Amino acid sequence: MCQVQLEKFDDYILATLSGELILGCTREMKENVKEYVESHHNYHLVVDLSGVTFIDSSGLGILIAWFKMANQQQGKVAFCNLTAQVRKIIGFAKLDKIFTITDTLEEAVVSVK
Amino acid sequence: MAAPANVLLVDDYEVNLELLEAYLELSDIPVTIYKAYNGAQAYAYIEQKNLDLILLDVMLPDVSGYDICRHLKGFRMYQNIPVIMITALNDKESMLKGLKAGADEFLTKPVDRHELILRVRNLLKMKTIANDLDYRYSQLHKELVIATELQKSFLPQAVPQYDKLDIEVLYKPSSFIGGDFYDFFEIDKTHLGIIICDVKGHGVASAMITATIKFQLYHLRNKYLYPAQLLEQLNHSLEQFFSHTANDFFVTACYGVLNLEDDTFCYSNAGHSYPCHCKQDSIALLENQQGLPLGIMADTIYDEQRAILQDGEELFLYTDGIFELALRQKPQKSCSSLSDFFEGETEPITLAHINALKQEIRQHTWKNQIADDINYIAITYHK
Repeated sequence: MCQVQLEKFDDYILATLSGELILGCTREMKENVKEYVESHHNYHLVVDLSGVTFIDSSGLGILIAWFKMANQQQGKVAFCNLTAQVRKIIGFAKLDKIFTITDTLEEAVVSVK
Repeated sequence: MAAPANVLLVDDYEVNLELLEAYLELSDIPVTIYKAYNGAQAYAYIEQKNLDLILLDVMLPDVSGYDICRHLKGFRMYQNIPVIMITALNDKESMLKGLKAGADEFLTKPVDRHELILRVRNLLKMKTIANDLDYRYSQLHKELVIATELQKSFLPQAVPQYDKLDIEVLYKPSSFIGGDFYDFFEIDKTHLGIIICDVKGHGVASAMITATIKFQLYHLRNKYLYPAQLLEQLNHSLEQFFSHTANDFFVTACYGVLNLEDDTFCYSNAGHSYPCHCKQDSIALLENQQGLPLGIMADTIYDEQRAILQDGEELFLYTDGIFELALRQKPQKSCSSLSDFFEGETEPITLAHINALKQEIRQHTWKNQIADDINYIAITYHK
């Protein structure tokens, strides 16, 4: 089970994710974030992964989808507060080469400004 | 106008059957009625007629109504037939027994005509919906079977024959259609190209992506000797394809060329699990510096690395489904590479460990339902 909580700030949108980011729950989450971002016309996205306990290839897929969505609209995405396991899986797929990954939420907010 | 519903009435008293028949015929529900006086006759109608509803008395001479209901609900092909149990026993215990047996509704004797008609009408509506779902499911099933056959046809039908190589392949999809794909390219007598991919997800979408990869690889045959260039061009095509379809798809892949003249394996990697070079006294993971999965960024650059093979050594390429074994053995363990898999081993990891792992994978896939596709290619090299 995975969940997303969305909050709009002045110059970015914060998506706080929790649970297991795995096949079966990712499609709805992907669309929820996309709709929220589009409805607020703000493509700067901070994704807080502190509550994500596991991620599989479907989970990586939605992170990629948000990354591409923001890129297409000249927005920026930053991922923060990754657990060691999630960081390892992202690194293993070499996605750390293109994703902005920060240790803290504050650093992530700075990086999308 | 809809075809009449086939309704079976089961009761050992003729007068009860006639009363139910009269009530139904007087209603505006189009029905064809069959009458059974005992369990044996009821079973015969269930097998012969395509029934839409059964009104079932509890007390029968040869078998109880509960047994018939339980039997019926135990079969995939009959379990959608609604059952109304008719009983003289208006008590909670018999209702619970009926519910346990799988009955959908209850009526108590003397049967109220209006209540009977309402319940029959509602259950026939539900049966129509169930029939529709069954039909759609069977159509979907047929399409999945076709897609599965199509995807199987994309995989090599046999392993290549080279004097210097012994090749073993295991491919086991977790569901109808797997997301794993592999292929061999017999470039010439001394060069063999090997690709192993993992398409994110399963199902029809995976089969379509696999078809795209197969098609693109065919058109890239002038790149078979150049692993990095091949992955770069394949990446470019897939990125274009995904940008028009679904932007959360990606493919991990490893492509390498075995050169039988100079005993080398030249390889490039797109976010795929590192192949393993297995020696008698150690193993080495064949890592690359670069290598984003395919289909994410159009202009990704891939690097090439080279390993030298000695007599009796093995190349082990695989998809990450094999790590399911680790999760099964150690549920708390996070496992995303062979290093994780063998973490904690006190002895040096050697070819013998990889052989034991393959053996375990074969046994695991033979005995169990698997959650992820499992695919490996093991190539033993003889100088």
